[in-house]
Amino acid sequence: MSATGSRSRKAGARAAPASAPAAAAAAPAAAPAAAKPAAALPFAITPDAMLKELAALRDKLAQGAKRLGDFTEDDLAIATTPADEVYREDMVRLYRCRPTDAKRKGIAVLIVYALVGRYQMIDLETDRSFVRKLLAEGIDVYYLDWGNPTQAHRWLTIDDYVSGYLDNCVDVVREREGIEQINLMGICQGGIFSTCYAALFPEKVERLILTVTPIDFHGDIGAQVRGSGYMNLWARSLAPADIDALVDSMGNSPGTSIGFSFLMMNPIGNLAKYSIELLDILDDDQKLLGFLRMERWISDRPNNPGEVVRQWFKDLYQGNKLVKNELVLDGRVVDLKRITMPVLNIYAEGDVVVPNSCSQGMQGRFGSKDYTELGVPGGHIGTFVGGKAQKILAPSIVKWLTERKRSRTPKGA
Amino acid sequence: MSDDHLASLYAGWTEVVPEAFRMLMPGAASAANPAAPSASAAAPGRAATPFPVAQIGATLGVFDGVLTQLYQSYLPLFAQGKVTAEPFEAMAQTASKAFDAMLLPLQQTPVGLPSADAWPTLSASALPGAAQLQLGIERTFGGLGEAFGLGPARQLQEAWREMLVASVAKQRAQAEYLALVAQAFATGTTTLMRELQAMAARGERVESLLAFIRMWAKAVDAPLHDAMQHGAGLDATAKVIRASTAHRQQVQTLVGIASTALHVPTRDDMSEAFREIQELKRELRRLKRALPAAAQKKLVARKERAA
Repeated sequence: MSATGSRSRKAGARAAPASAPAAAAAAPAAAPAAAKPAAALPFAITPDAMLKELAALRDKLAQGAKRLGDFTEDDLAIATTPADEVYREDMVRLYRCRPTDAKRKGIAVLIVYALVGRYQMIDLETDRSFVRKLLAEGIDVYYLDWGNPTQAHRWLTIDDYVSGYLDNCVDVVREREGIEQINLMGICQGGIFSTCYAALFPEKVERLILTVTPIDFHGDIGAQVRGSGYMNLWARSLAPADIDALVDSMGNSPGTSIGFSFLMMNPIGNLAKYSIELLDILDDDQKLLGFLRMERWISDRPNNPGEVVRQWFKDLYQGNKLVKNELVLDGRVVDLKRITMPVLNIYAEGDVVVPNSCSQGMQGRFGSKDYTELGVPGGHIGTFVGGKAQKILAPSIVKWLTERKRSRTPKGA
Repeated sequence: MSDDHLASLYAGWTEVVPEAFRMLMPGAASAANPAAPSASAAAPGRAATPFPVAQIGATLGVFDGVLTQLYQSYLPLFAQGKVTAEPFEAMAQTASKAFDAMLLPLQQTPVGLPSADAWPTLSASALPGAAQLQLGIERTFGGLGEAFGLGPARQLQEAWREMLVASVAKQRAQAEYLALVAQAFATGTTTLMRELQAMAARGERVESLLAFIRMWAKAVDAPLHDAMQHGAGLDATAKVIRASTAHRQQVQTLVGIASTALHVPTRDDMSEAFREIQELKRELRRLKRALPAAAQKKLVARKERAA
């Protein structure tokens, strides 16, 4: 979802030991208490040095702008893993990645991404691709592209996604693979859809993998962390009537509004990202390319159907109905106890979009006796694209799946 | 998606960059408009570049202007030699006061707007002699207008008034939100001054303005989160959302009246049609679910072939 950039972590000043006279002049103790003249701040900056620094910075910016102009469409391409469309319905597309030379394990996974961002995040760059890592381990990978809903789709509900599009896609994978049950992997909001699906259609899910998924939407209450869980707070600060008015007047929630709300979760960090932090990467082509590809993904926010937004805010953020087994989709209760298949629940240790307290400790909530929880370094998006996390996430999932692999039950057997 | 769609987020956010850094400019410079992007860091030609090269190029241009203005504004300060916390504290206070001043006129209820009687007065201020003209039109054509279906003109006028009231409420909510932001920036600046004084006591020094800018960004981050995650900040956010929604509803009312009068399908008409289509799709899904498994298989295969 967010990937709003790293927070400004630079200490700012290099603490250099002051010369003796400067230190004496700067020390507050040197000032007589009675007269209390304003204490000097520890600046050791001369106008000449400032002008030189400015000239150097402007030169760096100019060089950076020139370097930007050299990049081609191919340089910035994201989601380049070869894949074939195997099913389409309305604006939804189901893709199957072409297998690599790796020895196939006979395990197929359907990846379900969130509606608030595009699926390309799982395949951002060739060397930072979650999908490529799975393929390299011999996993067959399917993924869903939810597309960009128009006003014609404003009445789509969570149930339309779960019992409609997702169920149809699961059936296609079952048919293609010739199996009764599939492995379902959900990311964030896609994790909620996958959870609902596994509860409503347990007979079609062999194993469930959740990543950065908020199951307990009130888990952050009393466990507030600075800079974390904004969406939970914003949603709860609105009255149900506000949400109704918002949805009724907007229809769909525009993608740009969603993008802006993610930026507002870390305003200073995002200001720094487009200014003082950008300066730091201008002379490093690899970092600059990584930044631009991430920007390409971040800015591509689809619209969200109004009725999904209404349910998401009222039933989940406000009512916390999923974890209470009170969520009703198309007249059917989503009962987490019906999720008896093995569950792997992965959370990002530095996640500020979905606080850890909303996704951790769900063991007793599901009906499954085979529940595994795994913390991965990085933030909400860093879990999928960060260097450290890349070494952990895909290998852990493959290991978990392989350990639980059972001989395939042919469909209809 | 189109580049225009993708670029719109940048257009909004990069405008915030100079506004935020202006909080760090001492004295008169803070009141001036941010510097225009310089030619040296100008964005590459948009048509020839892949997204988001042009957008980031433009951002570099904006930041170049911001840096130039920032450095120029600090030159006189550092030329004096000894720099104290006073100008920074004054700067923080100025920012807060500026937002408080902005709030003042918005706190007053726009009494003239909701009242139908006051409307001619308002019109008169915009167009001398209009009040008399409007009164004449009302007397002459008022009842006739209603009879011949010109009633929408009256409805439009009423809706227009409501929209203006909602617009003022929206601006007020935004100003209240911005006042909190300014206060958080002021708190961050005060914290930074304390840190600098502690550095001075330890014999450490700041040798570059860029380093100081980084320190400032770090210092304002925490108070901004503290302000926005708790009580007043959340209330202010909710109020902005509420007021913006109310304003949007009034605009929609206005457009709805005009559309109806012109026999153009309204937003509600379209929405209702979309709702019915979605209901039919749901019904189809239910019917499909009720089919025997063999028939369902055929359906999936057919859909797959179509793909």
